[in-house]
Amino acid sequence: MSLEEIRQYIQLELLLDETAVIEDDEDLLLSETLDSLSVTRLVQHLESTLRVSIPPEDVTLENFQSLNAIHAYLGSRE
Amino acid sequence: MLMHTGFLIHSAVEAWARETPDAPAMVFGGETQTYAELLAASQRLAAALLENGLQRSDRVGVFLRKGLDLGPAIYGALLAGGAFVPLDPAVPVERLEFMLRDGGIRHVVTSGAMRPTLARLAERMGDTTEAPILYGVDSVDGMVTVSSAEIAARDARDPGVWITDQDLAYLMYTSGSTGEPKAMMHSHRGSLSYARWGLQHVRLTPEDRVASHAPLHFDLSIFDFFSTAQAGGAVVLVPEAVTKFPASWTELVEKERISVVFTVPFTLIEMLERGALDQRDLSGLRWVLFGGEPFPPKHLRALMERLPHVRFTNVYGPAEAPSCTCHDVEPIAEGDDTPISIGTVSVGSDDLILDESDEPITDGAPGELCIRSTTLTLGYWNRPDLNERVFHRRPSFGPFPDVYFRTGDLVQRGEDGRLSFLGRKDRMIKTRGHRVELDEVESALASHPAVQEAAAYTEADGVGSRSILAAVTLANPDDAAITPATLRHHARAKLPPYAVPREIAIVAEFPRTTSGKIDRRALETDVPTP
Repeated sequence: MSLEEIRQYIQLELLLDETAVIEDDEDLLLSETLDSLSVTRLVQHLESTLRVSIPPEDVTLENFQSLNAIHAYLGSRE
Repeated sequence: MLMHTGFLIHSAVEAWARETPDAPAMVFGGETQTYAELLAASQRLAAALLENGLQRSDRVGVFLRKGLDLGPAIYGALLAGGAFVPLDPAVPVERLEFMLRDGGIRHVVTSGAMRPTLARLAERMGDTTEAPILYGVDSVDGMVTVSSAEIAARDARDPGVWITDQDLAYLMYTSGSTGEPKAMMHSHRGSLSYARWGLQHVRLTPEDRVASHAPLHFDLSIFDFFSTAQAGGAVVLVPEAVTKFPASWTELVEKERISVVFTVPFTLIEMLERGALDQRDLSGLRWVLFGGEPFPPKHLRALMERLPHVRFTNVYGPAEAPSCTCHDVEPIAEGDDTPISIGTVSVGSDDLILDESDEPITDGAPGELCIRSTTLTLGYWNRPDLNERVFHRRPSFGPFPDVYFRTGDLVQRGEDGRLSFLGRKDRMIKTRGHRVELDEVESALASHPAVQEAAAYTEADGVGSRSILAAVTLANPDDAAITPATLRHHARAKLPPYAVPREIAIVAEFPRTTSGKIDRRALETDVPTP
């Protein structure tokens, strides 16, 4: 999944705001872009779209802090 | 100079800094601040506050994320004779400005990390007489600042300020039904009474490492900071981002050997379901306290089975009268869905259940819980109208204030004397532990010029809490420029993040009751909690 697809999912489905600006390396937690509920929804979305299983121990701050981090984590699962 | 010691909330830090100067007081990101370091940093800040004109009981805003500057901000304000006011770091700037003006807050302790919000604040308040002095940050255009280096250059010594235990210790802002937040006032005596309750109930010792998981503007933090300080234990500050990842949070509990946690059921349910508990060694954890919302028995039972060595306590008490009742949970039998009791009144508290005509209920019928307690708030800041409404005066004998706080919570006393929580009298709701007045959400949406009327309501979120939803009608129903996204954007600028409705629907008209009011019950599509 491309970085762009992850960005769009967060904008359209989680923030319901297509104009929201999200930088590649922006801290999604400090900027309050994501909260714990939206992290859960994002994980479910990634699991169903990519047909992978993301174990709870992988849903960590390190792997989900920014678009870059999420992208890198998904790359490591390929 | 004289200091009225022993009854002040910060006296414990002074005492432990003398007794065990090298013991850890605050822990954050692998770094430790000892009691001696905490006291010295607090004294330096107190000196800076006093030099800049802080007077007894003046309010000092604490606008910081979790970090080792948090403890000195709180204790510095108190040592200087002021009262601290937690300011939510995630709050929109408009709401921050409201609190600063409403609270008459002329001193704010902050840091460079908050610079984006401070710059926007300066655009709104800079160069006015109401603009606060900012401490802990280098120059911000239009604002007077005192940098960290300037604070560090002060002498670390007792500022020798005279205050008593009746003085204001902190103001805590919470959601207000008028569309603006309201603040409750707490004295040193009340805070100390709460801190001592925590110390005694959990039997805290200097070996304890207590998590500070809740944000500072959430009253659970008073237990985290002050009960721990009473015991000379360590507060392990949990970064905000970690609280959003159950697996990172449980990892921190293990790594930091956290022994006591006080949080909301939502956090504990997430910990159970996504905390990777089977891979964690939580043998250091000995006591979990929870409050703010009912804990679904099914989930609590599962968590208790996973952590058989841990004691669990349900703590009830609005932020106006914290920890007024509590209940140590006994093992729950499989299939037992009886709601978890909120228990009986704590030492130092006394309850009264009133019927609709303010007469005491003695036969076990449901009624409004009224509390008088040594932890009771002094009342709402600048809101005599509210004080009139929520305090019920009933002179009596005994070591209690002669006012009862009307909690707005409906309860029923069982035959065993324990109280069951039945719901709310008004439109205040809890979402993941946060108090939100639905009237405030509606006011925020209705303040958009294109909105005719707004209705906020809730639905169960499946993990024991509720989500906020809203619907609006437009002044011009054909206004295509207005979308749910524009309204959400508007709400995000007015409300704290947790109070922004998850979905906002634009509807042609609302369902109405026979009296013509919006029928919010019809809007709710209530799904029972699984």
